[in-house]
Amino acid sequence: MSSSLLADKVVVVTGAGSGIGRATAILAADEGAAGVVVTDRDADGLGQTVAEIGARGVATESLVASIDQGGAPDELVALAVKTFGRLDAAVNNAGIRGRLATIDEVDDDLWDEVIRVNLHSVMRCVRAQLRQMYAQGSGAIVNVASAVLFGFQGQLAPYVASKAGVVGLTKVAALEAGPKGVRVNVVCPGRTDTPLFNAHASGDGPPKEKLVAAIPLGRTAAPVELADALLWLCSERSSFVNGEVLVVDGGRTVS
Amino acid sequence: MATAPVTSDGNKVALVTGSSRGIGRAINERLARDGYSVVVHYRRDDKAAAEAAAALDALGAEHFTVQADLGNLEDIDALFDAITNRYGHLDAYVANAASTTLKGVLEAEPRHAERNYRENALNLIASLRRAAALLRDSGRIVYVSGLQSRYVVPGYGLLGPAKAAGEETIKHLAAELGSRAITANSVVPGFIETASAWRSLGEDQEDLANRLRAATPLGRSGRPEEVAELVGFLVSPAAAFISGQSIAIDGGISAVSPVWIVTGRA
Repeated sequence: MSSSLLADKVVVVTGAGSGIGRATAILAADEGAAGVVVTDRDADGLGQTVAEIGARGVATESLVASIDQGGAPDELVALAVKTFGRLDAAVNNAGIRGRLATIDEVDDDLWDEVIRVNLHSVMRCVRAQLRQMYAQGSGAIVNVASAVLFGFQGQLAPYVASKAGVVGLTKVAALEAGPKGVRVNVVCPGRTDTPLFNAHASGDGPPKEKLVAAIPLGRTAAPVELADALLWLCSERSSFVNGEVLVVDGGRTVS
Repeated sequence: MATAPVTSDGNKVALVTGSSRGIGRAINERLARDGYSVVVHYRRDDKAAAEAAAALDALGAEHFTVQADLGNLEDIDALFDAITNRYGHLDAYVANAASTTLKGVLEAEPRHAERNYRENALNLIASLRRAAALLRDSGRIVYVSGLQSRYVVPGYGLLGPAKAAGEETIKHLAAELGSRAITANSVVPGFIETASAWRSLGEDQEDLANRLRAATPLGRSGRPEEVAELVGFLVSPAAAFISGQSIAIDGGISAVSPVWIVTGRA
């Protein structure tokens, strides 16, 4: 197909200051989006993403905010609507790992922070996005969970629980939103060459060689490969895919 | 317009089994639009195969037609031999063809079960072996399954479990072929309106179709072209890191549980 994946669409991406979120925001610009609205708590990283989008001649708006700050999810939707008049697609990607701890050592602050950023914020983003998309009668939302749900790891209980919650939220959203013309899906990235994964692999997690050796395709994903999947699900080309959990992990969790 | 030289090394080649009608035909046309040389494979319906070939002509696609009964190992060999002779390689193999006797486990006769598992499980492996040998590195395998592999659907006592075996086989291929950068995935369509889907609905098909559409969150059935888009994505470079997955394309009906209660007429 030669036509652009997201021609004339207005797209919102959270966590767009690095990794998968940045790749998604930039690819959205490459794929013909009319406007790309991005957010991240990291002003420098977000600035680089905005510059990349601008260099492609695509209109962009940005919001420097932590996604778990009070009004950020609503502000983001309002920014898209104020600037571009509508919101066609949203990628809820922002997330944190949280420090490693076995459950007996998880303190309430750690649990609260990870659940607040990874799950509560996604619910609030989806809620704000659905309200706008219901008013339009169309739209597509893609959340980002994790392939860790299909091959558990110890010491990550808050992270794993938050991502499992995102999958459940997505399924319920899909069946509620479908009749209103809005699709909701979730992508579960496996090991991807992002700052979050690399910090894990070079820091307190297992060594990268060991993590890569378990992947049948013998490599990590490039962030743009996750962006490809996320934006395909945002596009009209996936018009009958709804409530689906798409694992993008090089075959790791089935082998 | 004319197509690239048939045996050119740069020419992408796809085989979609059961491609004279329905979902298979839509996949062929989708891949042809992406520049693939394709094969119209069919078992019985000469007229449908001719129509599918004419549609590919209209797209300017390089293609040829092979009749083969996938219940028969000699026919499978002849099919892959024909592709080897004409193109010399494959880049995408889409195992779409399926046929069965629509019966419950206990009402099916042993010969029905034997034929079902020979064609849909044992011979699927035979086809996958030939396909894997013919696929170039970074090639793609896609298996077209159905929600019958996950849920009890009346009449699918034979094909449902065979499809489940097919999906599990695909996971193994993802692991076995990963070192060649070949991916293997299943697509799992919900209610897609094709002639064979209508046949499987049986006597009160209008009523059942309406209930299935109503039970689907998107409020409608799917089109073969929508399944073809998913397959087109999976064979594209954009999906190079997706492997070993079973991907539902069902409008969200499987997010609603129990999804097949509307067909509860066993």
